[in-house]
Amino acid sequence: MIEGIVKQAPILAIVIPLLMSTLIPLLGRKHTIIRNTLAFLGPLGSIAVLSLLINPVFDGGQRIIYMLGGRIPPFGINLVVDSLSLLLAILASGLTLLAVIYSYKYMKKYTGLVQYYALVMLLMAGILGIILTGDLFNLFVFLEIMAISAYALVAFTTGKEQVEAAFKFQVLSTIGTLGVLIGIALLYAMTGTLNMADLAQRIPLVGQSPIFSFALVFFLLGFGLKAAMVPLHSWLPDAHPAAPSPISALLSGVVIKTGVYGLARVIFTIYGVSMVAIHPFLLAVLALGVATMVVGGLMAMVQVDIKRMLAFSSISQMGYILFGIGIATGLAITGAIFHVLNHAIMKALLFMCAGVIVYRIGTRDMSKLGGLAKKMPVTALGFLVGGLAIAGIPPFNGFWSKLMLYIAGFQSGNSLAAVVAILMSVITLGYFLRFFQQIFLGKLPKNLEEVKEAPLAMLLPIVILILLCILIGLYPQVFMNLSQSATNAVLDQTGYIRSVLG
Amino acid sequence: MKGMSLIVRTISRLIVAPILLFGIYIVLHGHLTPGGGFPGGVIIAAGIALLILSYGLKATTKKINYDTTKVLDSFGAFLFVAIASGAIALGYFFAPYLGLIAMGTPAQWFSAGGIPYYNIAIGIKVAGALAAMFIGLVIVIMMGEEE
Repeated sequence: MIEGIVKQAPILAIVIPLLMSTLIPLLGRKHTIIRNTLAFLGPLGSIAVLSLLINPVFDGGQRIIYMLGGRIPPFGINLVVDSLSLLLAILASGLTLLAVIYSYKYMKKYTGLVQYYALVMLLMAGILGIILTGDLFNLFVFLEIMAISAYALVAFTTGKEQVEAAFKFQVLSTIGTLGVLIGIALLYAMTGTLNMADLAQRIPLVGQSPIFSFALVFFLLGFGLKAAMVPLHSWLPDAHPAAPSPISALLSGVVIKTGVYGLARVIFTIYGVSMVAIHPFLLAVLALGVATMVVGGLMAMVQVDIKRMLAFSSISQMGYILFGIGIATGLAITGAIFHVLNHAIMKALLFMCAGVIVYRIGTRDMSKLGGLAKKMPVTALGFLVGGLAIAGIPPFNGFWSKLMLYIAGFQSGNSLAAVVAILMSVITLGYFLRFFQQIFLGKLPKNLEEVKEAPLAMLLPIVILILLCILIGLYPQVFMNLSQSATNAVLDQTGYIRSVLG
Repeated sequence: MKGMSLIVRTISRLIVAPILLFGIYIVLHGHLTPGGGFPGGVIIAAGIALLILSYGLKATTKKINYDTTKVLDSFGAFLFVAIASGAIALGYFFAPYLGLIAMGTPAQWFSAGGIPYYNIAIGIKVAGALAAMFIGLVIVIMMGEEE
């Protein structure tokens, strides 16, 4: 029995949330308890089956291949679980679990929650599909599944702002997926295959061709738009604040990371560093990454809307991750992967804290708030920990990943970019402390004297995320090793080809 | 929506049943003839839309109401995922496992492994979803008329 589950674990991780997304509207229509339980079981089931793979993948360094329909690659679609996929998949399902728990109370006042939870499950199935698949076209399909459920979730509360943001998100995101599709089409035209391992094997055989570089630029356009890379970021500051807060946490936590994941897979697994290094492509990624962190950080400074500020801060942090991918040394990629993990945790924490303010007070305008630390001590602590972690202050998790990125920047001779990265961290600290002071310290406005702390169901995810921020900060070695093994897995192109094609 | 004139009602009364039957035929023969789950489901939903247009929403909801269509929509999706993941027991996700039991003679209905069963699931899903959309739109229009 357990062996059978281990054998089927990669597909079960995708199928369980997919099954829940169809079961919730079928069974959960009448009873809230059934709906909530099913929504809870989806991510929990995924975590459970994925945790069965931790031992062989992380410790054994294996890649687990799952063939859909029993067809042998490169002819069928196959799933590949390596350290990078497993790390991100567990992260995505864990955050979805916390977002579902948070939603129980937060979303209570809205109607049509059956569809809400079904869409959350579908979003999660899409994310896991992108992360686990070993087929480039399959990745595109899951990208669309994820994106379409994300549009619907952004527009879920159907206010004017939400619908407008979702429409903008939809139009721009479609342009992004179109870029990915053109890239895939060009690669298919050149090599006649869509399997990632087979592509990696055949691209060097076809030899140098400008079409490959052309395809690479389309991938950068598509995945860069998904990852909110400047100048393709303009949808994010509208879409992420407009969504319900648990969804903002998921969008900023994992959905934008899928863009970076796709880019990393294309650069390192399909093309290989040596193939990409012929062009100044990585330099372009690095330059765009630096631009992203500067523009995001500077725009975050001048916001008055708390969730919009967090959205711009997400853009800024995506710049750090792109910076790591652009440097493309082992340490830089490890730092980038570690920062993906850390940023997902701390940005989910910050959005959930902002959600408490929206839930209890009903405003996102920071100038109308003040002195809330006495009324909401846990939320204040969460915001402070998240803010300090995101700025890279030592006892918290963000410090370690940012430190790795700075060192990698200096080591690889990109000192100027690394100095900009450090300066942007200082600015990040500046605006987070300023906004903390504005919201939680100072004088309490008269109309907010009745405000209470968030209900328990919303505090639980916040407390878990605070503890994770501190724990990773205190014991970074474990997670550094995980990121290190993820880096080894993504850089080992020949190993990837051999384990898939045998 | 009140429905339309006597001529329209009479004609649609005569042709709704063949339309529904034709939709079901297209769904069931998806693996043999052009068409399949999606076109067949659309034809079934079009039959329901014709009923609503000619007889009005009230008369139609006695036969099929909004909740039923929504349940059909979710049930079709569930059936598809369930058939696909049921194959895990036989080794692989989405294997044409029903074909292992009865591959059948080519060009007969019992053939093509799991494809007809997937087509039936898609047909239920598409018919339910499109009918739900149409009924939903009519309800919104009626709310506008009342105001």
